[in-house]
Amino acid sequence: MNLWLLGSLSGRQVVSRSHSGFVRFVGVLSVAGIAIGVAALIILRSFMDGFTGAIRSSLEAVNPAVHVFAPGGGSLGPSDYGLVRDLAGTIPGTTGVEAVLERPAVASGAVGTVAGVMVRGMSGSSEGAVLGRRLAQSLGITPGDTVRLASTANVSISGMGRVLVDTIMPVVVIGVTDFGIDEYNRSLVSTSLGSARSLFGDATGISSMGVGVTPETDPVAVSLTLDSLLRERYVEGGWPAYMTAVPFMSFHTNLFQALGLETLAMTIVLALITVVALLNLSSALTMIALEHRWDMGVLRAMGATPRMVFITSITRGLSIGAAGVAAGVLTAWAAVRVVNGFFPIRLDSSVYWVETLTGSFSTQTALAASMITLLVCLVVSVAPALSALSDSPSEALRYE
Amino acid sequence: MSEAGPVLSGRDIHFTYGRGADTLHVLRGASIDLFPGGLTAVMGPSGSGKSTLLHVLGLLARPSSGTVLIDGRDPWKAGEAKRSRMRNQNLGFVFQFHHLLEEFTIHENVAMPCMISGKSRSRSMDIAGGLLREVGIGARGNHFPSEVSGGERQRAALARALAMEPAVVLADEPTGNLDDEATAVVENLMLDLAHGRNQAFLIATHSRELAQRCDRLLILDRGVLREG
Repeated sequence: MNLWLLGSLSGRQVVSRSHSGFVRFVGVLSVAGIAIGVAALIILRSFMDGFTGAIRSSLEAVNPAVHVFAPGGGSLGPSDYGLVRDLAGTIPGTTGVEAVLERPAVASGAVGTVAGVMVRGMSGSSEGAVLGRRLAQSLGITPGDTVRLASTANVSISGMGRVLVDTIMPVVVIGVTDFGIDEYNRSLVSTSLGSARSLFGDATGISSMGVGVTPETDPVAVSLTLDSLLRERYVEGGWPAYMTAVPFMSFHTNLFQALGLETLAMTIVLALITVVALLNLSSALTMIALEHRWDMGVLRAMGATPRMVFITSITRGLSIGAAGVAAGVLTAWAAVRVVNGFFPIRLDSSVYWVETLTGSFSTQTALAASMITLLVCLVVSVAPALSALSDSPSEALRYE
Repeated sequence: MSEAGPVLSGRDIHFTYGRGADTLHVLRGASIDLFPGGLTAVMGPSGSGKSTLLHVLGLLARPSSGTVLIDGRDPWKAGEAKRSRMRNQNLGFVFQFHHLLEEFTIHENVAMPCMISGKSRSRSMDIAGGLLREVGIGARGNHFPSEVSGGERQRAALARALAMEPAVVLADEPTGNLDDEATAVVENLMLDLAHGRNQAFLIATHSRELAQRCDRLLILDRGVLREG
């Protein structure tokens, strides 16, 4: 069949001026319904993916992708660090290993200020301290000031019952930063491994090791390989296993699973909107087919085969579906850009960890939603297309 | 009668609507032969089965019994796709209410049978352009059916019926919906085209004037065709 004729027949009959106003209205409703359904789905996924992605990237920015630690929280030593560094160096995609000493402490800045903090000393960090934005604010500290850190190491009780802390260490603040996650902004003090060891009175202590990976490397695969190498080295060598490697994100598995479940539930609810729109499409197509019953009879009289009539009817359904899908995708894309650019959604960071809900328009998601919707349009178009074939040409021509 | 064989024949055609007690016998053994270049008129009162006869001869409806032959072949022994192709290549239709597709221009409507046959759009439009000039509405090609007069619409319908140069044109009361002036134009056009193109025309009509100008007049009487 001539493709121009196929396209013109299905396309022009959808927007035909010869339709009754009601059929035109139902046709427009079908397009609008599909557009709203598709847009809602893509917008939901954009913001849920954006939210999840923001938390994930913030966590990854502050923490190494793979952690090596002793099960039960046992302390590690310099020889363990050397071993892990050597083994990690044999795994493709790793960028290095840092020794980490991380423990709780108390910080004080301006007069009368005090806060519980988590001090993280890392072998790759510079001397001095970097504070989270909100912590610096609460301690009244700016870069160049000195923050006093006190650890619980060497704490003793005097005969008068007073708590004596002899490990109070002044550290120069070299930076105040946004760690991306509110919890870190309120409590994290990042410093050098040496400063942390001095503070905690532990000259060689390491609480864990962080293995960095390149952006294109899968941290889970690296952690599995490293863990297996560690096991091989110790268990098969007759030693008890006391180091294990885990991907950092596994510490937050519950969070991401809960977010995934929430996204799935909302996707199902919004997909139902699209289903309702597609049912409306079915009735619109049936009405259009009835209004063009004569035309189908004329086409058959001119030699159009039943297959041509069927394909024309199916293409008509797909035309309406494609118009709705295109409008929906465009609306979603514009909505995400407008919200991100002009109407940012502020969140309570103490609850949601991040301060702004940023939409992340995914071409892959838009493509998947479009393809599935068009596929269902195709299925929905079959019944009206078959009804257009049920008449003999003679019956269709006699229809009034 | 022509020396060539009939291009379309109907033999002992019966056609019924409904079933059981409600059965309506419209055609009761009608037979007809159509020859190239011949104009045949069929007359009969309303409801006598003229349109049904044209639909059966035009392969739009299957006869309850009897045989339709196109160039000696029985189209009902072929599949639907082949029958559609026979309709496209051998038969042209003119209906009382023109039945042009409202969403397409006059030019596109006339080109449609050619496009259905698989010809390219440009080739089909060339053929249609020539036919529109031949029926005298070459200047109205870019208008939509709703923008031209009833007579012009029926001339466009006639041009569309001729687009594939069919052996037979079946016209169902082609002037039944036109005023006297337009009727005269369309009648003259059909007579000229039938003789000029050596095509067989079968015209169902209530117009005795038109019937008398045809080569042959048949009366459909109680489901049977007889010479008028």
